[in-house]
Amino acid sequence: MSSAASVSPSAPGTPGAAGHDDRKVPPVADMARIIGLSIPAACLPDVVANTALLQGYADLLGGFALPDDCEPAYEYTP
Amino acid sequence: MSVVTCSRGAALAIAADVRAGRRSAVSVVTGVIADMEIRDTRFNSVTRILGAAAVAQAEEVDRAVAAGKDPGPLAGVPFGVKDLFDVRGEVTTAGSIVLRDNLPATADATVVARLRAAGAVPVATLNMDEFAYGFSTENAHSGTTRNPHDPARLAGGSSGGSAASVAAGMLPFTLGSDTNGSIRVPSSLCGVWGLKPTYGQMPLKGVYPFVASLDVVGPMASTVEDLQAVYSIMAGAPPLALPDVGDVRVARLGGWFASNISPELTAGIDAVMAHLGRDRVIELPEVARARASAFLISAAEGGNLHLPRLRRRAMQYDPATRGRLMAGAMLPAATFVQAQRFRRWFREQVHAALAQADVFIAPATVGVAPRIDQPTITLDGKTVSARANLGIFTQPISLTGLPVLAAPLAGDGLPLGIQLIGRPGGEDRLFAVAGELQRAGLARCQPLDAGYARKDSGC
Repeated sequence: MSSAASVSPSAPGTPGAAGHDDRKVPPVADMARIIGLSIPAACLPDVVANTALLQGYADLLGGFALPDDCEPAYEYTP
Repeated sequence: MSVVTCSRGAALAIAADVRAGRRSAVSVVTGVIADMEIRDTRFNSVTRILGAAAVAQAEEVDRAVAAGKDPGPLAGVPFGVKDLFDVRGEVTTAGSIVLRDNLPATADATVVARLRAAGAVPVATLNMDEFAYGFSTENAHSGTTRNPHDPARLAGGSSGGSAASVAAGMLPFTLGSDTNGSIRVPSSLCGVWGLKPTYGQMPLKGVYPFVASLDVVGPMASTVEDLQAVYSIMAGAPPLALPDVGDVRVARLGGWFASNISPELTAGIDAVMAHLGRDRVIELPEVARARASAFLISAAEGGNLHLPRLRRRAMQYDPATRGRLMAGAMLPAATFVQAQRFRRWFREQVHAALAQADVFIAPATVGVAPRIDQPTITLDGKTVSARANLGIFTQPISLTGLPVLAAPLAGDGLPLGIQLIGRPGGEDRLFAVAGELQRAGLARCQPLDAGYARKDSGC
């Protein structure tokens, strides 16, 4: 996708184009545009806060190495 | 109060009276409706009373009794449903105005239909966090449900109306759903019994979804006997044969599940373990990441479910739900897949632990219900949102899909609850332990004023 570079969020923890830590302020507008979602201005602070919260959980999870043969639990039996 | 000392359970006592002709189903149902109309103004647990339809069904039950037909094991027993179960003729709102223009349900949810066929009568729909996304039952559309044991405090959520109406003594049993703790948290904060069955066991047809990977439905009740009876009917299974409680290996969960909890809760679990004569402590690995995985899966699946509506009419959503769903809808696939892979890994660890015990005991919440005007809890010395964090001990277990019975500890203060966590399909062991704790007086539900039992019943 030729336009991907202009709308994709930076990888968590890496400096964005503006040279700051993107984990502090997730590129919510770009992320929303990718999925066709328009975020009303009044909602933006709350969405940003929740996105940052989820990123924290994602970072926690991403810090754990899983074996390659560990498959996703899409068809899950307890 | 007769309702909590009755050996056969409050709901079962009503059914016995109706079946024997000592009470009419119509008198029970109309009495409960009148009671809710008066007393629920304090608690805001009810969203709709199903008056005409409930009375009509109660009349059918009475006709069956008069004709000598079997009216069912729950004949004439009134119950309420969280407002995400289909009840024929009613719009299923899932606690939101977003769905209010949907057509009324043409059929009951499967579990509601099974209860109705057993003679039980749905009389009310009950308040919840919008789309079940929260632990507090603070709903921008229908208001906050208050804890009957202290109306200045939260009832918990998202099945808060279901727990509060049982705790208030307005209904003998109710139905809730549990994705991350939505039966267990409000059951514990309101001091009622609740069951989250094994994931995949209960039919979800006619239940408005939230997170397909985690959603479960189950009952809440004022006695273990009622909880068990309703569970069996919901599952479409014969009554459980319970094992001897002495044969059930019980262990308490340490580590994550022993941190941040109130001294009263620790003492309560100590007393339970001492009574059961067990002292084994088991620590599950990577519980924080298990909770994170449940959080992320919920956000991603819930966000995806609502994305089409969020694109068109986001402003109709409860602000507290909207921001979370939007953030979840944008979650990268890599994160979601990682969470699902972690779930697979965590399952193996939990099954290894289950080789050492049949039932794990853990707290359900960190302590008593937070105040409504100060909806926070303290974790690791930090003050955090109750709405988002009350499930700190329930979310990691949700990821496993294991069955969990929420037991209300006996005590003089505000309610505290524990989780009895079983192996897959091990509900029989959970009921064996719960029944023993109730019998021994270590756990009990104390409804405020059981209007449905006021008449009489001779139990």
